[in-house]
Amino acid sequence: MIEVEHLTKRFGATTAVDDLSFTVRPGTVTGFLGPNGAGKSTTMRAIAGLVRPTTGTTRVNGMAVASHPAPLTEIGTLLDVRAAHPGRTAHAHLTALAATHGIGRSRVRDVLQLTGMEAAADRRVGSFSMGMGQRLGLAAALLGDPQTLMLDEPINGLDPDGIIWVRRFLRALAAEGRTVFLSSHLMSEMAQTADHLIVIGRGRLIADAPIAEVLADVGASRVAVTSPEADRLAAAIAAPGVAVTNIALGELEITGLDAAAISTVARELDIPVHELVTRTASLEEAYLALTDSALEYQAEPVSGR
Amino acid sequence: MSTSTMSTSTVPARAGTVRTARGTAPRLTFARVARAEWIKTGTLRSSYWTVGSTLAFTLLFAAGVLLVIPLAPTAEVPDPAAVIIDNYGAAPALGVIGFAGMFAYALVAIYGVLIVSSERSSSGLIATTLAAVPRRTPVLLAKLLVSSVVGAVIGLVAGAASFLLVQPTLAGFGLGSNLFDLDTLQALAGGSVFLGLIAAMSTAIGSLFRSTAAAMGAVLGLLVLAPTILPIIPGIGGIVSEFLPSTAGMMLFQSAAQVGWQPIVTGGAVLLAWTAGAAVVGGVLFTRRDV
Repeated sequence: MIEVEHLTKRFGATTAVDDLSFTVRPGTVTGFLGPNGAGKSTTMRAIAGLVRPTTGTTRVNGMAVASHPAPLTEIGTLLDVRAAHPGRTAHAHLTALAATHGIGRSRVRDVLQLTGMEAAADRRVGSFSMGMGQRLGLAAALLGDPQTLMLDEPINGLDPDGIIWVRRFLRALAAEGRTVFLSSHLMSEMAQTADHLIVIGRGRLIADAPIAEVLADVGASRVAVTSPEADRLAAAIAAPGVAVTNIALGELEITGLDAAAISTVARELDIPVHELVTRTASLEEAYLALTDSALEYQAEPVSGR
Repeated sequence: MSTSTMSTSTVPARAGTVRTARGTAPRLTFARVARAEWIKTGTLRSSYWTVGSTLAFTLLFAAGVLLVIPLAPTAEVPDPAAVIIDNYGAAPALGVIGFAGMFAYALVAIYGVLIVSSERSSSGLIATTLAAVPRRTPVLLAKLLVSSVVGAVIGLVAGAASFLLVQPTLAGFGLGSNLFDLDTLQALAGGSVFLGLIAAMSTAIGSLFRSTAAAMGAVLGLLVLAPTILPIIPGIGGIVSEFLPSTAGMMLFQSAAQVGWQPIVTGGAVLLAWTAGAAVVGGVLFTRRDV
């Protein structure tokens, strides 16, 4: 369990995290989503005790991470792909980390095996691909067999096999009742991995809900209508809670009313309808809609649009 | 990495099943953090290179030069023993131990800086380390311990090896002495303490900087450049430079029989004060700053 309460972090004049509160619960994979620069890494580093909050508190399994007598057994973290010295072997890196808690060599072998890194155990970290670096980071996070895992962009740099493996692995960990918290700036990554989403933009909370709910909230279904008498139809269905957008001549996009209701109105008024389609928002569209106003570096619209 | 070695279904057992070698639940202790730092320094090639080159360089200059003096043509150096005494002092065997400390300290300082700065600048390892030991103070203390022990051992080995290397030559001139003489042991211990403190101070100063280059610049500037530049300042320069860590610390390997205990104790105290001061400032910033 991870609890963040009114976390604010300023770096000089920049506010990286702005009064952020959320709870990551056990037994679920919780995705932490936001555009680059939204404050995900700063938040995760604050939870791990690496960044001092300007105000607010963070707790891991009920306590500040530094108050735990054995932090590695409480929370496993992967915060940086370059989290090991390039001159050390994978095995030496893990052995030193395990030694801080008195964790034995057999566990080092176990996590190397779990992450498919046995063959690379005696190679120097500097020779690793990004994907192998991620596996080593995951092995380090698992060393203490922690109840809570916090992973910053763990899928970055993995090949497709590796991505599927990480997804299954994290799902299995959550199924055991562990808390799994992972960040990404890509919605599509989260779709198949996370049960729950925490979305932030510019350091503020945008959404904190099950993934299905996030999608439903963001105009999950729009109805596209093509009709030669689009204007008449638009006037007829106008009501509070119904939004009608003219997307082209004779083409409407309607939210707040389903296709059946629209077809009934059209039939009653004898309006011909050439096309009536329900469109479900894709994850990426939902994400864009959520974070649109919160993008730190907004691209200029392409001219002609 | 072949994907065939990946396990797709194996998951670790329920949380809390990892045990220490003794079968107890894992737990942070200072001794374990120190052991981890010891493993870290022992599993990096750069540590061996730094320690090895320090010893080689020190032996070459502290002992090697003395060994060459008798080889000079007799026409130019009619009395090699006099030349040795001129350059290494009335007790040349002890002078060699002092030379070892003087040659080794800059390289030991580099080792002291690297033990902390390499975790920051060549990798994000410091985040991994401090996430495992979030209280942080034990990490810096463990690094200070490891670097001072390595520094002290280099001091002892470099001093003793240089001493033993020149003994046969010195004995030939009737200048030989015994490793287990009280004077010799005192100079060896002094050189060992000197390098131990220099290493620890360098680690403490190194912890203040995010880049290795900046840390090296600060440490070598203070230890090597300042003692040669400060005395140029008329009036106070000479006095101030006596209180620089390396200048003061070099009193430690003087022979008490020759200079008395007072300058040795004063010099040692000044270096200790520098080390303690750097450790306190380093410690406060190390525990408070963002990683």
